[in-house]
Amino acid sequence: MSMEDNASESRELLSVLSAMPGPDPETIDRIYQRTLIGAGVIAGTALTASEGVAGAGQAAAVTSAGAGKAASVAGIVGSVSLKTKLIIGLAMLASAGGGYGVRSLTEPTQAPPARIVSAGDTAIQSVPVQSPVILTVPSETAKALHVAGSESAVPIAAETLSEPVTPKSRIESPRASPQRHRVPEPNLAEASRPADFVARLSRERALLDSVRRGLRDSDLAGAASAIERHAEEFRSGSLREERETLWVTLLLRRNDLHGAQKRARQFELLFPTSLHLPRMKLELARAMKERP
Amino acid sequence: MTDPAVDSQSLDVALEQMQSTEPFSFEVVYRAEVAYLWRTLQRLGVPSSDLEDRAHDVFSVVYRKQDSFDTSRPIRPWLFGIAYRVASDARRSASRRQVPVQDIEITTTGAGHDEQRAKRRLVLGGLSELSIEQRAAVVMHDLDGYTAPEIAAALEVPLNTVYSRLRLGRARFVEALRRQGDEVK
Repeated sequence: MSMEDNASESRELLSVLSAMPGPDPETIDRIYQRTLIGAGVIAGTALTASEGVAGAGQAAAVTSAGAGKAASVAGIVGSVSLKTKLIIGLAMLASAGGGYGVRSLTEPTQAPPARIVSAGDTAIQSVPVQSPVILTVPSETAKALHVAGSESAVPIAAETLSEPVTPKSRIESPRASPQRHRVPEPNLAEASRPADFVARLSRERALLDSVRRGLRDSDLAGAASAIERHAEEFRSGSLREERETLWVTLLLRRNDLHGAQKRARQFELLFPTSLHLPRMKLELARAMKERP
Repeated sequence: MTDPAVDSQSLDVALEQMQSTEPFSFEVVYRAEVAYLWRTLQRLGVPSSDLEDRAHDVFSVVYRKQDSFDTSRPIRPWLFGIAYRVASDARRSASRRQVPVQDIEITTTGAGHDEQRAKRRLVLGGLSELSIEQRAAVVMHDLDGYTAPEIAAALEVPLNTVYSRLRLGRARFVEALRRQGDEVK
């Protein structure tokens, strides 16, 4: 049997594997969060944000409630039920006086370097109180927490999650930029207050309403100004998807098909399951069709 | 009112015409390549129970090394190289235990997928008889379509080593499946 014979047969057989299923969207998000947490880009509180109140209890404990509490919470996370975790999380939130993690997250430049500890690590007891701690959570624990988080739609969770999702703007070559830039930690104190969250959301909505008005009244310059302001103020805001959708529309209205395509491509990669995607694609398709 | 024909056809054309002239951010690279990485890890023999952890390992390396990546080069061979090393380390740490085919579960739902799933399990079973080095070479070449020099660069091995692994790996793979009968064909 020659190598070539094996090659064609091997290719034919392996073609069965060409359509293997990928991970589900939840897993994709979870791996992303874990990667950023592991890289130290976002603190354990980011996991808190995405995983809900149960996680909030852990993060509150390790960031502000002291080493003893941290150890006790971390130690029992692996063994207690989700309901218990939820109760512990709420209790910790209450004991932190609603300002959990404020010191470490609002003063990131003054805080000592973050440490990475595992959720079940008893060495956590020696961690100084003022030191921010990054929790690395095993996948099984993360999955369990994810289930708990899905039951608790706390507004602050969505808001705090949205900020650190884009840790680096680009992959840069060493020649172009040898410095690694780290996005500042989100201001959890601000985001954690429901009133602030509502205020931010209202501001976001007002800006995007301005964009819509501009598009409706053919005031493209005004629309562009408003959308750029939104991008500056709320780069990863709660209404980011809406902003990107409007941005594509705006670019199409300016006859910038290439720019609209690029932005849509980025959007598709970032939000593959977005409800805005079909409409965005349709707009692009129509623009392509109408192009002379 | 939407026109489904326009939606499904022109859209793909529209999106495919987009040129990726700018370097991607980590987030964009992640979103674009996580599915490919996931499948690659499966093809390299990572059991389904470990896929998430290994994918996390791969992207942790990607994040750490992103500054050293030459953005003028295609990203997938680079990603494959990282996935290969992660899978290789995982296999070594598991004391070279052979993963049973049943562990390589592929979750596909629907009655029409049963046959396809059975075929995949057989093929993965055949691949599991290869060393991780042979497996990587065969998957990269015969499935992903990379050339031998590209594989040599991605896996950081001499070109002749790639040819050798390909030849031995294919022979072993085909032989393994022949032993299991003609079910795959």
